[in-house]
Amino acid sequence: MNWILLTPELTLLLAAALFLVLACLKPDPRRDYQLAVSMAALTVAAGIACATMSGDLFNHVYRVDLFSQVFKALLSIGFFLVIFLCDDFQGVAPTHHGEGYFLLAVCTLSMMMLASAVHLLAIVLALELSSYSLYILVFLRRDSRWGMITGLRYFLVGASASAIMLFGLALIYGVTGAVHVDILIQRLPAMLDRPMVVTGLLLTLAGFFFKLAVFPFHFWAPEAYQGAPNPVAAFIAAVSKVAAVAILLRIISLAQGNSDLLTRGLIAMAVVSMTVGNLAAIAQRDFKRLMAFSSVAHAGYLLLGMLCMTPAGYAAAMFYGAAVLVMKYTCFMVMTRVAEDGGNLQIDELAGLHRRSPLLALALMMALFSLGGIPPTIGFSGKLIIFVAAMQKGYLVLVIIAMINVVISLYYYLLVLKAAYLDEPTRPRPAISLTIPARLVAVVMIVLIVGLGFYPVALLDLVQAAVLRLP
Amino acid sequence: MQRTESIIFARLTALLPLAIFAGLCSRVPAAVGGGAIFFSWDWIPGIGVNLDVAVDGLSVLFGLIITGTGVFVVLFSADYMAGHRYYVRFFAFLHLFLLSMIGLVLADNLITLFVFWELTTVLSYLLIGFDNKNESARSHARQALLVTGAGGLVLLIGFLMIGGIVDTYRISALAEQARLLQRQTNYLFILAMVLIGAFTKSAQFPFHFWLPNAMAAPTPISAFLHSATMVKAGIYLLARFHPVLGGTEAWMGTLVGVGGVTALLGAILAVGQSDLKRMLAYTTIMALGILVMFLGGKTTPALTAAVTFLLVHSLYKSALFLVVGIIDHETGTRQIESIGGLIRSMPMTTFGAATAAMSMAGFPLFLGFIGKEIMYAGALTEEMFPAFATTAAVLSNALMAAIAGIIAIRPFLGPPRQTPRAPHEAPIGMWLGPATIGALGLVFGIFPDWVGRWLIQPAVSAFHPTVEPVQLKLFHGFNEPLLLSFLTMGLGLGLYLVRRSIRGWLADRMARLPVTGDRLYEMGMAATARTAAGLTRFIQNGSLHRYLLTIIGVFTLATAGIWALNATTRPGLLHLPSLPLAQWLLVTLMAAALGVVVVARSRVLAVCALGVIGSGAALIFLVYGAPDLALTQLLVETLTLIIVAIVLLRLPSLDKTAGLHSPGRWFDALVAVGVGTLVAALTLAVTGGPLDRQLTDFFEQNSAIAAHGRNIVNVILVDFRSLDTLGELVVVATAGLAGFSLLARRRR
Repeated sequence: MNWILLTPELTLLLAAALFLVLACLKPDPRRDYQLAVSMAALTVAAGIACATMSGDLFNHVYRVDLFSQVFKALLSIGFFLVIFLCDDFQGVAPTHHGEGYFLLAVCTLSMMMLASAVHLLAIVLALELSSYSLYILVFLRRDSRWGMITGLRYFLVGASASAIMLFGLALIYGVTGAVHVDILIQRLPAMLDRPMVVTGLLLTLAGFFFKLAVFPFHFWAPEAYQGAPNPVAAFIAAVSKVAAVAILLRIISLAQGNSDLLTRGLIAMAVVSMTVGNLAAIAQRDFKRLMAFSSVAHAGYLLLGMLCMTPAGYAAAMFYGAAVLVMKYTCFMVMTRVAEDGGNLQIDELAGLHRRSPLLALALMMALFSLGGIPPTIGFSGKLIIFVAAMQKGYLVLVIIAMINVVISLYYYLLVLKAAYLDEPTRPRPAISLTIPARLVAVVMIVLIVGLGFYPVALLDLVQAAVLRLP
Repeated sequence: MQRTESIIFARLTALLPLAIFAGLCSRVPAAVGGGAIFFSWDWIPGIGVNLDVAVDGLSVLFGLIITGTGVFVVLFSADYMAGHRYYVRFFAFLHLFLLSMIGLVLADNLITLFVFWELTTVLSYLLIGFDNKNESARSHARQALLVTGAGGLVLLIGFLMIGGIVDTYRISALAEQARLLQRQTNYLFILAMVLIGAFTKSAQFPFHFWLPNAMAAPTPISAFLHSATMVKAGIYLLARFHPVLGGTEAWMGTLVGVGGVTALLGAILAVGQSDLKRMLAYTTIMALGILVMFLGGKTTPALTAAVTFLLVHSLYKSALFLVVGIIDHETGTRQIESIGGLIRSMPMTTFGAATAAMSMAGFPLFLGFIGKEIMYAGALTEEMFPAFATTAAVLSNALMAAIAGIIAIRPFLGPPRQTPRAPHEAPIGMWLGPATIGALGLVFGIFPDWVGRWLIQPAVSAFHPTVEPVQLKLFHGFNEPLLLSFLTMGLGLGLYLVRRSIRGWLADRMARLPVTGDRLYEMGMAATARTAAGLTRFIQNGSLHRYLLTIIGVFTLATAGIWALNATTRPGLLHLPSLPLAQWLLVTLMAAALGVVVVARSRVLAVCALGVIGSGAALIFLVYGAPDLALTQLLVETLTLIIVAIVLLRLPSLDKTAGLHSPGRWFDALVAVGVGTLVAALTLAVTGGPLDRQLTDFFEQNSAIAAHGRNIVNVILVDFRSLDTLGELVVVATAGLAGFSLLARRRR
């Protein structure tokens, strides 16, 4: 067995083991942070170095190919960015920082496994591992008023979704007698007109919809975001979505583009998610809740790409997944820096941000414009690619609905932008001081948002090559 | 000192538009010959989106207008915005806007055009909201962005559809496909999408309301964005698409109708204003309406009228806006009734105002006169509704003449009045623009032939392959247009004289209109906010019970729906009589336990009853010969039971929760029974199918040979899958230990 293929996973495993030990020793936040950043940097290096490797591991249960490796590179980058954001980690008591890093590493590791798993049981295992890490991460919130309640809710909604998914898997196995993706690909196409198969697939998807926060599995999102420590919320909003896209693409591509029933189901979920997410976001006053509903809406856009069931659609969804990582991370980065003592941030507390920190204000503006799909940002190119893919399949009405949603979303992104750029704070607040690395990351995020908006081809070529590995 | 330096630096940035202006001028000779040059760079080639650039007569004319006014606006702003807190940011936005406008008119790719289109929208948002101390400036900036941004997205739908039909996004390739596009069944839909995009940007009825509201912007921005450039983007789009989608009855009828109504409405509303800037805004709406109306035609005179008036209007309107900016800056007010006699203190400004206003009013020798003549010629030859078009043109022009009088005569002549600041001449950078642009209107008016040959003709032929050449002359002889001109002047004079009395009357009438675009917008916003709040209250009310109910409900309905609509077979029923007695007993026991769970008033009792159900399931596994499964189930069940019971002991009792009589519980019961039935039915259906005997066969053949055991289950557990068994045991043991240690810690 070629262990080199597993370098990113092994690095993360090492990091997890390290922090498991450190969590038992005397806490030292400074040391933990520096170690965590170093390990995360190593992971990124490993993730990128292994990006073009391929091969099958563990009796063909684990597949390393361009598809999985691109996702792993994205996940490791997201992991690094989130760890980087933990420099004060105010939302978690200092004694628990070690556990926090441990859980983040385990969660990233399991999401990498999710990208590579090609056996239904391996998929379930990876999914549950990542979910449980997140449940506990939410619990870690120092302010017990939030952590306990929201963690429990997050867990209960997640458990329901898992139960539904397991039932779906049982149905699929019952009908096809197969649990390996390769065999399913051979057996499923002939059976796709059978309602049992479609029911099984849709119910299986429920577990992943929960991760992506698609209606009706989105209920946890606003509360979990609100209750989680800020960097953890960033992790859930930005990084975990990438893994959800990976596994959804893996499962949806099993249908190989010829299931009307499945498509109809996905269309319904996409439309409802977009609309509910965007409408509910308007009514929010808390920054993280607003971002949570915006995530629900973005899940809808992502589904719109996937339900095309064409390589163009898959590539579009994958591209947009990367875009979500960049955009959402930038928003949460700004939020974490602005919020005092790791607390939650109300939108009107952003007032005067452009004076307190012009760089953060600019980053927020770019991220919001990008989320709102205004050119030339990565969010625009992503939406454009999705819409073009949908138009090629003739989903004109869907595209129109999505456009209406984009307009609605523009409204509340502008509300946030107005607070940051145009409103005056009620009481004067001090300027926000940023360390040089923090500035650097903010600049890099701005460059990524605009740069990939202007020049999306490099990333697009990569994801197009990656989705060709799907059946 | 610092301030002077930054002003000089700001003035120097005017070299950027000047350079582009010069570059475009060098393209004029080629454009006259009908030549166009194309460039192309790859952008997202995978979906046919490239940075295609086409320079032809139309783009050159627009580019010259944009950069020409741009130079003077930059010079003007250098002084006007001096000392502003975000001086540098302002110029950065202004130049970015200018570049996006240039990009818009040079783009030869639908998507690229859309990108620049939205960029101008966003930058205009940033520029309108620039006076950010002003609450109305902020909300109006948002309104402008939402209306034009939404229009842009509608436009994108149209573009994507066009791209889907003709399989290219190149605009220069579309004209050949015009017949194909116009034969499409959804031609009308595409047309509507494109027209809505253009109408929102160019402030056509009923989307016109954002433009006067956007006057909260700093004045040079209004001069640049809201008269000469951004609002003309819609006009540019209509001209570009004239050979593609134009010429049909739907096109002509809509454009002439909407344009005419907008022109009349704008003119009427303009007279009703007393704020100089808002008055100019409404005359801009009127001018845009006229432009749209003439682009609805398909004859050469009509289209020539559109292009000529475009130039005329850009010149005089930007000059007038800048004049208003000077008045505002130097006197501190824009209220028309409180200014007078400025000619003495501000001679150069007065010159600019007078020349621009005379062009606006259409006095002979001014370019405006030429524009008016050609306009009447065009209106009379309109394909559809020529009478309406002519009437609208005459009425608007008359009102325009009256307004020109109001703007140019009133503040400058007569006795000086008390103003917040003592008026004095503006710095040269400020008056240079209006004076030059105003003088240009006169020069062009004297040599119309030159303008026609070098600017108008190439622009018209770029989107309308003309048969007859465009004729711009000072005097066409005594004909209908000249007659109409006299009529216009007379009407305009009359209106000017009675302006006071009609202003109040009009303002009163307008305030009483039952439906306006502005109010519809406000209502739409309020309704959206209400829906949002209601929706959030309904679905995200913070109750976990509601969440789980929704999840399970959707799951049940969706699954049942799929089956009801598509199933061909029904799940077979159990063969009840064949069940042995022991199993009947087990099932009865579990059912009884379920009843206890539902009615129990104590948590511990409920949990214990749940344990009975779990153990019952384990026993069923045992009966069917799966001892391993049964064992695991029993272990897990016991562990869970203990942990849950310990947690539950710390919670309040169930007495206060709703009893059996509340309707909510009955609904819960309904959902529970529904999901139970569904899961049971699905399980029956899937187990009803043939079993995969592959593994069974393997173990039957190999267990005796490989592991020397006859009991297949045992062999699997301790031989084939021994590591799995070990793992399971370790997991259950670890979980038990962890639970124990937690409990022990509690006790300590």
